[in-house]
Amino acid sequence: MLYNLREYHRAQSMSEALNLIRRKDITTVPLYGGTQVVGSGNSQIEAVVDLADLGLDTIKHERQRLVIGSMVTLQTLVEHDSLPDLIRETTRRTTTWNLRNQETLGGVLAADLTRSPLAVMLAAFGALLELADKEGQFLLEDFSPSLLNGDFITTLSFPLPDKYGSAYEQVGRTPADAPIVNAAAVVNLQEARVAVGGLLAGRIKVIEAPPPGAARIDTDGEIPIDDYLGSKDYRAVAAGVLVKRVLIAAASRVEG
Amino acid sequence: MEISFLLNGENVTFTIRPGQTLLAALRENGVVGPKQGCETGECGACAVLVDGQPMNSCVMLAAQAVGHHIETIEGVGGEQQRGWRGSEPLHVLQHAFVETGAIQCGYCTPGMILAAKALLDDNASPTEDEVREALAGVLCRCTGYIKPVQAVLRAAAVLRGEKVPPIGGDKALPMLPGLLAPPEDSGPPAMAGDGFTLVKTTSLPTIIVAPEKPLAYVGKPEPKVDALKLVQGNPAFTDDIEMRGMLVGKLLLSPHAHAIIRHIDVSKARALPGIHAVLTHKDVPRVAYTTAGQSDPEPGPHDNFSLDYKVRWVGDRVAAVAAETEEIALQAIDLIDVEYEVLPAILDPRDSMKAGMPIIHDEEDSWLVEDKQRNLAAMIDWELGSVQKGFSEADHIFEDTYYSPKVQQAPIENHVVVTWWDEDDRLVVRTSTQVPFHARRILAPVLGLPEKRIRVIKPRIGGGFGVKQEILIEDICAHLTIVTGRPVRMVYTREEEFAASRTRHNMFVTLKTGVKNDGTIVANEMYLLSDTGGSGTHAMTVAGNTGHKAMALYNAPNIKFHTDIVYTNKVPSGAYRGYGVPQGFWALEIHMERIARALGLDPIGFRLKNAIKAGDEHPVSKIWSEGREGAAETIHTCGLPECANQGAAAIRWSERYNNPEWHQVSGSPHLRRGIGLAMVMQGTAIPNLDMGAASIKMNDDGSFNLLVGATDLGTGSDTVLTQMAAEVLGCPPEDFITYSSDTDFTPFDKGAYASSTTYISGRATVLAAEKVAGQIKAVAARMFSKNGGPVDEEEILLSDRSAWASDGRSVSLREVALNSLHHEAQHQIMATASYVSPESPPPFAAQYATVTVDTGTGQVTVDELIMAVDGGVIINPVTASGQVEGGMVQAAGYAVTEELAYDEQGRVVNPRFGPYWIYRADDVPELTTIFVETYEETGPYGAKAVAEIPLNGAGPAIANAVYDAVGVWIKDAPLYPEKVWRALQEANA
Repeated sequence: MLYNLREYHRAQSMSEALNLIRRKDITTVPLYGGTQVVGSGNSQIEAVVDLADLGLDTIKHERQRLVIGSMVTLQTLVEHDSLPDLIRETTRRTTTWNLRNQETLGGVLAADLTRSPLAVMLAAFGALLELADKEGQFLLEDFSPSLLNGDFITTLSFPLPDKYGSAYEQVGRTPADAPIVNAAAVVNLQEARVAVGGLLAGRIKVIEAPPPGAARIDTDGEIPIDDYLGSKDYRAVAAGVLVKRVLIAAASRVEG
Repeated sequence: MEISFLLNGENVTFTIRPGQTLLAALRENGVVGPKQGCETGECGACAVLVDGQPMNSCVMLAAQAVGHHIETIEGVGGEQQRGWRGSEPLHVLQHAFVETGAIQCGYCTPGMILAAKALLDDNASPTEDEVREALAGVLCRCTGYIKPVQAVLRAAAVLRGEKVPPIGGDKALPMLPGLLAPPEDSGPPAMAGDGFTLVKTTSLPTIIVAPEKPLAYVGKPEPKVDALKLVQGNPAFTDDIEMRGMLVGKLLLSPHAHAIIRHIDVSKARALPGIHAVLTHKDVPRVAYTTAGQSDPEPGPHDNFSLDYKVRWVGDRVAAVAAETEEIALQAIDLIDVEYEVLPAILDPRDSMKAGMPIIHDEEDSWLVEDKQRNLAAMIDWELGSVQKGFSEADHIFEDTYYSPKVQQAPIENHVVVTWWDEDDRLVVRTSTQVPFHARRILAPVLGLPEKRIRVIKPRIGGGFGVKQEILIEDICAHLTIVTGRPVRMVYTREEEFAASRTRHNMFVTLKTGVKNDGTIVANEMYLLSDTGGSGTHAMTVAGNTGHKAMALYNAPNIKFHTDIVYTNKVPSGAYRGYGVPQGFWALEIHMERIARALGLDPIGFRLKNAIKAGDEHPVSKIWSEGREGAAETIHTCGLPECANQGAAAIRWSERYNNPEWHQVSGSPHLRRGIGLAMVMQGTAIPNLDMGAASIKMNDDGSFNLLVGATDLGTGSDTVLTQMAAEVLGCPPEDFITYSSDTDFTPFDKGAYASSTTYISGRATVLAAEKVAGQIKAVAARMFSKNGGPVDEEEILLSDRSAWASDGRSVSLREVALNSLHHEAQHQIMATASYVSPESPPPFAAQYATVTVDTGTGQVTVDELIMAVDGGVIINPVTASGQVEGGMVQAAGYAVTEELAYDEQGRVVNPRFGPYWIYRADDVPELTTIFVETYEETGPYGAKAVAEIPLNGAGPAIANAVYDAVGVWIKDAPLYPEKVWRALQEANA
């Protein structure tokens, strides 16, 4: 429960939302779907700004890119026929139907995206984020929630190559469990792009030219995840196994 | 602020607080169908439909509901039995949930039905996978999901206009012997000593048949007596009431694993507007007690205090507040300043008894602690024969240590209590408890009230699994009512449930077993190190039960058991379904598999050769019984061989075991399949100690009030007790108003634990019903004699709501009731009976599992679980199979996914459903239950028990299947991928 919450706003414009979020005298956060914020029970939160009325709930094709608004619910992604199958499937795997009806793309990315099947798949597609205030676009693997201070995600976009293959794999305690380590690959005739989750704390690791047959995926000096579900060593090796599998599977699916 | 939205088709306006969730706002306004199970959206008990789609109202602000149509279970079906207004039909889904037995505790039922409704509104012909996907957002800890899935598919068929078959209960034929034979090319399994092999089974398994007496209600899949209220989301649970002036209670919990509270300043909290009480250890009486709800005298350490100057685990109580709202209560908690002297902590039970370790219970006033200086809460030691002698006679000795982790019971309804003073200045405690009578007795000295001034009401319970055999927060809620004079509600959050409640004891079990070349076990020794956490609740009896059951299955001539139950600075362990026995069988049944494999013996034959049999004396019965000297008990019924054979046939053991081809997965060389088994037993009630009673009263219309102190926590016990009374009194279960339980009105019952309710409370119910039947027959005989020839009471039969004379005349039960209450020799037909058993007849079971193991990552996927159970005669096949299904899934979680993980400071790092992970509808294994019914003469209608035994076998069967798949033994549960992967690396090295 947000027991210190004093204000709920439903912003009608981007500028209104930004102005509310930037206030210094009251700790204010954006509400995408709300599940992460409300479920956090964060006692620091004193006001929320609901982004539901900002028109950020569209999916468009623009110049061979798919552009998805941050307020598109996960269930909309699952049901959207024009999205790549594995985007829909990894969205389905990200959480349950109940929560997919509530959670939005922006909400997933603003929270812990480290092991989200959807986020890892999007990173493999080379997804870019746009924020309401900060200029430019951010690669998903370079994104960190700390960039959202006084800002919020508006859209995510990714290219749809002409001929490509893709694959996704994960390891968990059960098939439906949140992944301990996961990997996704998008391969076309020119390049291969692999994303790995569950390896680095707070970030997805992307490998643009994965070495063939690597036994493990190292963290290259970054902070590894090392917890009760898997040690850093195990994660590195499991990542190696999964990367090999997704590369083989994705390559076998390249059309043409 | 005010919000308006559409609720179940009507415009409503609520006054809300900004931080209030939709769930809180709905419940505050009397819409109690959505339930609180967590605060993070991970359990789905709070599910509602928002514009027709299921969403979780605990993670949605009430303000977000504006502009939407919110539907709750209250808007799904028509109202029932509203007098002259009549009944409106239930929704087809509700009807299907009742029919199929999809409701156990009923706490998740509204959420499940709403999700299913949204699915069927959009998809008239869903596949089973689609149903499982739709239900995956609603966790259920009781059912194993089979019956809810069945209910949704059945409802879909009905909605499509298809005819559906009646719900079963018909007994299936046992598997024929031909199916038990292995394929010819797999080679014969190794022979055990007495020549028993599956190949040689040439006759049908011997099923001990119940006396041939046609039964009208017993053995039938009667709908649960409480299903109708639960399927409608009626206000049945503890938290479903509102009282004028009710306050919200909250606890400040310790952030340290071990510390002394040097100073505590509550002045700022007390000054907060809306705060009515802030309590610390300085404000309440210091009374040492046990939170274990057990019969008098409670056998365990009395080492608990309502509030103490010392904290012994992260999550231990520091202070309590009562406030007008939850928000104010939480703000007050933040305003309490505490100065701790942090002490060294013990987090590993293997350290607890070492010299120089901190003493966790160094206070003088706790008692019944074995040895405070060594952090030894309790100890048990016994020996039958001489294991040294047995080991000297053995050809082989096997010894190893196994570990089972600390896991949480995780009922979807958290601990919840409401306390108030009634008009007679008696304290009323409305609580979700398994032990209302023990609660009253244990609370009395803590609160400074005699038992007679405390009334404990047990409404519907939303699951318990042992964790509500604790007197956990009743005391602190009552203290707040005593201080404020106001009703107080206290509800644990899910995080508190994980970090500040009770868990299963984590145990290190060392087994040493001596075996002859022919597979005869000649000596078996168990050393058990049990971690009781910061309090010794259930410490001695849980560990004692581990030895009592696990060391009894294989009836060696020499058995030794020693256990040390030690304190650590972790959340206390307590009662959890199985009560120590799953830990014992986790070790024993992996150990037995290893022995069988090491000696080249058939794993089924080896076990059955050594297993206890009907006619044997229970080897441990006379040595130990709940900390007292026992009395010898004979095993009257044992269907274990039949269970083994039926389970083996169902899982196609002979086709798969030793079959290299089956172990491979086509197209996936990194996957390997495996098959495993375990044999297990349990007990049925605690002999010569625990008592149950029942009262039956006849009403004017020939209906009956059945009053029982037994507590149905979702198991269906109210239903099976009613079925038994109905059988005796010759009228259907619907003619009973079954009430359970209230210390003011229902007779005493020890409560729901130790697999005892059907057996103990059932026997009491049958005895009470027989007394009432006698009274009915006496009245009927008089009525017959007055209107015709004399009739011998003994010849009167009760059936079809009437009393029948042997000459064919009858009077209805209504006529009998009216006669006895109004017309002649008026008296109330009623009776009470009690029962305590001198015996505890064990149920037996064979558990089989198949798995698929990923050799690259170590991930274990459990594919199938099949349990063949001898639980005596099954009173209700639907409720009983539901128990087995749900129990197997809990046990699989125990083996594969569940463990409370701690950091170095003693904090639980996964106190949420997601990181903890209990199985969901879309990832449970395929489940099969087989009942091998034996007739237990000491039980009501031949019943024993099925409640706990499903927890005992799945873990070791899965571990054995993993070995079968990839050739590594995993001795420490749970089977996280890394453990399996590491074992594979070591094996390959």
